Amino acid sequence: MRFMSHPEGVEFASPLRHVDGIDDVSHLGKWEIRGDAHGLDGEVIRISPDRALVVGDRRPDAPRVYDMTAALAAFEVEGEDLMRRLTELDLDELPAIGSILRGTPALIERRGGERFRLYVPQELGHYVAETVVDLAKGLGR
Amino acid sequence: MRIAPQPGERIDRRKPFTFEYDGAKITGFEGDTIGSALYAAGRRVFSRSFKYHRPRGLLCCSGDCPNCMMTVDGVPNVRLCVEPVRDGAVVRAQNVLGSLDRDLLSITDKIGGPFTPVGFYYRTMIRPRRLWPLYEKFLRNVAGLGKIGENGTHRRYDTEHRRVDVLVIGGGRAGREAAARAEGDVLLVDEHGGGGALKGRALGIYEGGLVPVDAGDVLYRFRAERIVVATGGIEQPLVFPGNDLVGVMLPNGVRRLTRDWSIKPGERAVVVTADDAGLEAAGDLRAVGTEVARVVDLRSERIVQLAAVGKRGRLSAVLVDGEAVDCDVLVMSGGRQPAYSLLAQAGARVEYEPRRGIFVPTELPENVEAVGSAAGDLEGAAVPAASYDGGDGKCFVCICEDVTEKDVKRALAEGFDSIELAKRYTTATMGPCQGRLCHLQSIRMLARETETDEAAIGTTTARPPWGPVELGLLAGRHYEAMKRSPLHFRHEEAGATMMWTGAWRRPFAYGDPAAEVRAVHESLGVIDVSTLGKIIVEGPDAAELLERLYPNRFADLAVGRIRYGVLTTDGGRIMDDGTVARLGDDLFYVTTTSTGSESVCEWFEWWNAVWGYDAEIVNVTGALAAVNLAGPQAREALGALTDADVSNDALKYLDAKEITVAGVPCLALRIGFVGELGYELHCAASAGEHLWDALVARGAVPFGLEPQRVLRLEKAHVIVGQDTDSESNLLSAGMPWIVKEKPDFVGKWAVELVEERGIRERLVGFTMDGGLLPPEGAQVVENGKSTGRVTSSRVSEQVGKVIGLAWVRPERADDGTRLSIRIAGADHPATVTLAPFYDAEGAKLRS
Repeated sequence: MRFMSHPEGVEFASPLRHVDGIDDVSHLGKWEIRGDAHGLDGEVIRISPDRALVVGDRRPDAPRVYDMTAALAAFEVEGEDLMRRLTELDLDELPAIGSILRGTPALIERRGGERFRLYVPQELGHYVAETVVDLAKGLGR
Repeated sequence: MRIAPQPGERIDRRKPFTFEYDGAKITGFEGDTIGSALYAAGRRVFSRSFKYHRPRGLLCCSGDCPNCMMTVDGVPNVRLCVEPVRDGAVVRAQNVLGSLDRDLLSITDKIGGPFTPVGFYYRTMIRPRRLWPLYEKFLRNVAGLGKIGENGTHRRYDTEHRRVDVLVIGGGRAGREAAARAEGDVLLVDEHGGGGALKGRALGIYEGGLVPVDAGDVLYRFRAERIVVATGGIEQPLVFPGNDLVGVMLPNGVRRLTRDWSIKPGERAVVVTADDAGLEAAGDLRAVGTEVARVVDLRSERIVQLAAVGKRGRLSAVLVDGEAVDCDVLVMSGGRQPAYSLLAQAGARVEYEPRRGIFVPTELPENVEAVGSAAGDLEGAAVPAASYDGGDGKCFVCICEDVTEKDVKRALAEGFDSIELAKRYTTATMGPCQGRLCHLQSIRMLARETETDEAAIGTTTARPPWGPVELGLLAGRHYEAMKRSPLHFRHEEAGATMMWTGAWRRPFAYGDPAAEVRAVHESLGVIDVSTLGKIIVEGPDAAELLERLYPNRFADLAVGRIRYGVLTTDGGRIMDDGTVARLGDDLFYVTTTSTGSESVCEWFEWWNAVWGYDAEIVNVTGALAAVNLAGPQAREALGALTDADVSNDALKYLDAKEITVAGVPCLALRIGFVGELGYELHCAASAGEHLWDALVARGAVPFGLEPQRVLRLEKAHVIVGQDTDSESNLLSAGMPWIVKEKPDFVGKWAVELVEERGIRERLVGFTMDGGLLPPEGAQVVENGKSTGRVTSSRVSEQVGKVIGLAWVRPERADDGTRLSIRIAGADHPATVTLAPFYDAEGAKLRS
C-alpha cells in the first residue's frame, strides 16, 4: 500500500499550512499499529490493548502497520489554561483520546511542562487550529 | 446623599468613575456599584415592575432581587446593586414607556388589576386564535424585562473546564473557613469575589460533581471530587400591603448603603423585624443620621396590622396596628432562609422546621457538604405571619412576577392547590430571583389558605440555573466543525462556489456547471472525491467478513478487481453503497458515501466483533486524497503522467492497480460514477495538491458536485440518501441483481420477506415529454392523487431531455409507462425509462 505514504520529492502539504500562529508538526511520521505494540522502537502511544500510534520517521517493524502520517494533523500548544478551554479531558491523565471543542475527536499528549501536542483528523485540522488560535486570543495571547 | 467618610467604608473617594445614565453624567467611586452611585446621586426609582409597571427601588443590595435591573452597554437585566462602576458605561432603564419616574405603562397598575388577574392571558387572549400573534406582540411589549441586542453588542464568551478536589461555593465566613480547612486542590467561588475567591455564581450542581460557574464572560465547568455549599441564608421579606414601595428595604440593603457606601438612605425610618438583622439595620441607620421612629421586634411584639402607604409609588408612612408613622424608609426582616437550592439540586432532601419557620436541607449526597447558614445553622427568628392586613394596597408575594396575595388565593380557588401547580399558574418563584424572596412566602400562604402546614405543602423542585444567566454564556463560542478536503484551498483559489455536504465543504461548481458537464463528455474533467469514505479491511477473515456483510459476493472477487456493493441493514434496507477493491488475498479497499464512512466503519467493527473474525478495519478516509479523472481523454492524460501501462488491456474497467502518477504513488480504480471513461486516483492526502496540479496542467477541467449530479443522473446512478431513504430496499430500488444466493448476509431474511410479499413502490428513471424541469420532491399523480415522487431531476444537454428518478407504484414501473408529474399545480406527461439515459450498454466506460 505505497499509495498510503507521502512520496519523497513531493512537498508535504500540511493541513495546517494556511493557519498562522500554530506550532505545526503534522509532517511527523505517524503509524497505526494493530495488534501487540510491545517492544516497538520510537514514541509509542498506546490507544487500546491492540491499538497504538507510533510517532517517528521510521516505519515500525510490526505485522500490521498503517501509515497515518497524512491522516492526522498535529500541532503543539503551550498552557494548561488554553487546554482547559479546549477540552474536558483530565490533563493529569494524558495521553488520552477524547473530545475537544465539543465533539471533535483528538489524541492529546503532554510534551513536558505546559506543552501539549494534539493529533486530530487532518480534514478537521484547519478548523481545529483556527479555533485554537481564537481561544488563545480569549486568554489575551 | 453621600455622607462624611465612615469607618470601614468600601469606597475609595480618590478614585472617581463616571458613567452615563439617561444622558446625565453620574460619578461614583471605586468600590461603588452603579446602583450605589445612582442612589448617592439621588435616584430612588430603579425599575418598573414586570406587569403593573410599579416603581421599584433598591431592596436587597445583594443581587438577589429584580428591583435594580437595567440595561448596561446594551446588555439587559444587569443588577446594578452588584455591578461595579466603570468609566464610560451607558446605563438605561428598561421595560418603561417614557421614563422610570413617569412610565406611561403604569396605567396597568391603576386599571389593570381587575382586568389582569392571575393567568388572564391563558383565558382571555386565546380567542380568536389568529389574533394571538398580535396579543403576544402587545404583551411582550408591555410586560417583561429588558430587550436583548439593543446595541447589537457581540460579546465574547468562553468556556473553561477545571478539575478540583474541593469546590467551596460561597465566600462568607463559613465558606472561607471550610476552604481553609479543606485538603488538596481547593477552590472558593463567590458571587462578589474577594478574599482569594473566584468571582462567579454557581448555577447548579449536576451529576458527577459538575458545577457550572457564571463568571460573566467565562463559564467555568468545574468537576469537583467534593463540593462544600456555603451559600448562606437569604433575608426574607414580609408580606403586607405596599411591601414593594420604593423605600421598603431588607436589612442588608441598609447595611450596604450605610456601611459600605456611606450613603444616608432616608430621613425617617421604621423597622419591622423577626430577627436581629433588623435591629442592626436600625443601628446602621442611626449611625448615619436617619431617625428611627419605630422598631417592631416580632419576637416580642405581636402585631396583626401592617401596611405601607405611598405617594407615587414611594413610601410615605407605615401603619402598625392602627398607628400611622411617617417615614421614607421601612426595614422589613422576615428572618433568613437557608439558601439550599444547590443542595436540593444535588439530591438533598428539604425539611420544614416549624419552630423556626424555615426549610432546612437534610440527607446530603456523599460528595456534598453544607456549612453555615445554608446548612440551617441560623439563629432564632420569629416566624412571621403569611401576610399582614391593614390597607388596600397590593400585597406582593412575588415581586419579580408581580404576584399578589389575591392572585395566590384566586389560583387556589380555581383548584391549583399544589405548590407545583400554583407556581406554574401564578408564575410566582419563576422570575429573576428564582424563588429567593418568594418561595417561602408562597408556601406559607398556601399552607394558611388550605389550612394545612408548610411541611404538607412542601417545596418546588430545585433546578438549575440558580439565578439568571446569559444564554450566550451557556452557548459558549460558536463552533462549526468544518471538514476540508486536502484540495480545499485549490477549489477556493479557483473561485469555486462551495456548499455544505454534511460536515464537508465541497465545490458546487467552478463556474458554469453545463460547461463542466460538456468538458467531461467531450474532453477531460477532474473532480475532487476525497470526501468518499475509505476503509481498509485486512486479515485472514477479511473476505468472509465482507461476504457476510454485503448481499453481493466478495469471496470470489479476484485480486486487482473491483465490485460495486450495497450494504443492507438487518431490516434489509439500503444503508450505504460504494466500491470494494481486492488488493490482496487478505486485503480489501472499501469506499463508502461521503457521509457514511464513520457509520459504515462502526458497522464493520460491530459485525467483526460479533462474528469473531480476524480482520482489521482501518478508517483511512482522511489519510487519502482522491480524484476522479473522467472523459474520453482520460487514458491519454493518465498515460502521460505515469510509466505504468494504462492501456485498456492492462487496466480494464473495474480493475484496481497501484501506479505512480506525477511522482505520487496512487491506487488507481477504474470505475465510473459519471458515464465516461474514468479513473479514481487515491493518494496520501499530503500529496493531493501535487497530483491535482499535475492533472489540471494536463488539461483536466475541474468540475463540481452539480455537474457530477447531472452526469451520474444520465447514467441513472442512485445516490443513497437522496434517491433512497431509510425505508428503501434493494428490490424496490431496482437493484435485485445485487442480491446473491448465499447462506447468509446481513438483512437476508428481510430481503427474502420483501421478495415474498412483493414491493409497494419502485424507483424508476423517467424523461419528461416537454422541457419543464420538475423540482425534486414533485409528486407523481394518477387521477389527481399522489402516487409517487421525484427524487432527482436535471436538464441533460447530452440526452436532450429533462431526466430524473422517481418512486412510482410497481404497476406503473414498466419501461415506457406514461406518468403524470405535477409541476406548479399542473400535470405534465413523462415516460418511464428503465435503462440508463446515456450509453445504456456502458460502452464508454469500458472503452
